[in-house]
Amino acid sequence: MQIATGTTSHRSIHTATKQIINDVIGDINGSPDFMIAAYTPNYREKKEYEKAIAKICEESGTNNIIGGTFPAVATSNDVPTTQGCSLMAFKSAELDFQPPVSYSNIRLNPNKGADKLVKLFKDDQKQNKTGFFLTPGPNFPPDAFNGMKMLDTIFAHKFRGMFNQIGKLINRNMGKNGYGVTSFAYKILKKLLENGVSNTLGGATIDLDMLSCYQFQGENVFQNAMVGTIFSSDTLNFGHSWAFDKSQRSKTFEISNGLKSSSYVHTINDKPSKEEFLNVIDIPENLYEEAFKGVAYASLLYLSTLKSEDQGNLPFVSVCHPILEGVISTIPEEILDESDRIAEFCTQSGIGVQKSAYQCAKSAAQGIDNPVFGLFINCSNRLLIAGDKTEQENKMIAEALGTDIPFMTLYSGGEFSVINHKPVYAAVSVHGMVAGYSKSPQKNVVF
Amino acid sequence: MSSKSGINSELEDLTHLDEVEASILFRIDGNVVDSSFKEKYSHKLLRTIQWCKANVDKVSLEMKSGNLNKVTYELNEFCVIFYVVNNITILTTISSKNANLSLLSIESKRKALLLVNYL
Repeated sequence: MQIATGTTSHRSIHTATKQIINDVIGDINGSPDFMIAAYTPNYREKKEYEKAIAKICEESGTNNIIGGTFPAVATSNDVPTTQGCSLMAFKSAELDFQPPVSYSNIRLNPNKGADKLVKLFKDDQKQNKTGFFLTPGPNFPPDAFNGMKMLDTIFAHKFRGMFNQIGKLINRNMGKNGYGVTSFAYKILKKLLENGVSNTLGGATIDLDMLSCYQFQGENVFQNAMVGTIFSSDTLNFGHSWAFDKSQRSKTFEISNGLKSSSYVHTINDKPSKEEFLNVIDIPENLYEEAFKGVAYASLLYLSTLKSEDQGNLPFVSVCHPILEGVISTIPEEILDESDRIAEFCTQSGIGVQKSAYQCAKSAAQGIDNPVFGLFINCSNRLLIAGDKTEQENKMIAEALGTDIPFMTLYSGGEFSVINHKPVYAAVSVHGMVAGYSKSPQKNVVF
Repeated sequence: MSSKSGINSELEDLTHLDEVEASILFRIDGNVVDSSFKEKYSHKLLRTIQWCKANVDKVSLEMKSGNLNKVTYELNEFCVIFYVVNNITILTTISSKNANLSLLSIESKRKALLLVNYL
């Protein structure tokens, strides 16, 4: 089995691409069976990415490629970059890759996109299989929150039942305009589960400047598409896991009321939610605005978790915008329904981020004796917390897997998995998949 | 690629980032090894560069004594990141005040590691 990885950085996408072709495809003897390409979003123009992907396809001799744009990309053998690309190429008789699929209207029709992945699973007859897919990510243009203002009317607060229906329409509109990920990503996971899919890794592309994010499949470059494939094998096993930094828990609070269909929280601890939210995290409004306006008003350092019946504590992000009285959260409707609505705050730290990356990799590799490669979808907010210590996080993953095991880390705008027949939709987390050989039958790994 | 053009190419990469106004490779005595600027630069930027040049020796001494790899200054108009390249050179990245310093420090670190190869 040949697996080659590399990361290059350059102000010109053409030079970065040329270098990565030389470094990675040059390492594979012949034409690779499959590739994952990740670029940073700073090159902006769609046509630039189209040219770059076409060049990789031409030079590698295959169109079996998926990928997207992420604020930073990293591989096991290189330090992360915020201005360049990472590539992972595979050639193996033991590992099969279904021809990648894409669905270009995923925000509005997540079920149709999920159907394409389901078909890949059904068409594949190998013993062990797992999915890998990428979606568009959050995109909050400056006026995005104005559209949310109608959720804040007295009418909406009084007649929540009716507004849950309107909330669904607003959700659909938000999806169409590309604001959030929650509304469609969880639906994809549920659809995969309904069709018997046991394991899948997913992540959202994102541009932290909210200007452009792209997804790649073959030579196609999309702006609002899901792209994905299936890895399968009779000899290799696939282990999945996820983790987040829950080391520093502080206060708890109750999500008293909200529009569940649009993840909009009206009251916390039976008080107006924005006021109470700032009270709980103990930050004055002006300081909050100053600190978080650059990151779409999301309080990334103050992560909240909600206990789900099926999945334990699930982290979510809260967005507290000055024009809104309520708080926007990234809680899927179904999780809010099955939870006790008591949320906990977990303060994120650089050390905690590193430790959770190690936990994720270790746990994903738990049932695997000889890891062969790994794929990690790591929240871009964790990237902002880690800063130039991001490299340490990848060193921790290498320590967990073995220093010579190739892996790729994509810093995403949403992380989601199906792990042992359970959906995991979590914010500010790291999700991982490790492939390798097991001497004994694989055990179910539950983190 | 020659040492001179290699250094200049790495500095240009940094300057090409939207929020970066200038990147300068200083010797710790304040002499400039190489530099790269955005095409349009202001007097305020030149004053900040002068400030960097005047203070790089003190900053490097502080970094050496405190065993620091990176020092960040958030000035009124600009942010300045000093990153140790080797014993005698420091990479200085000057960005707009609204720059995402977490992301910028990742790239500064990467460039500092690459610049060592040319020195």
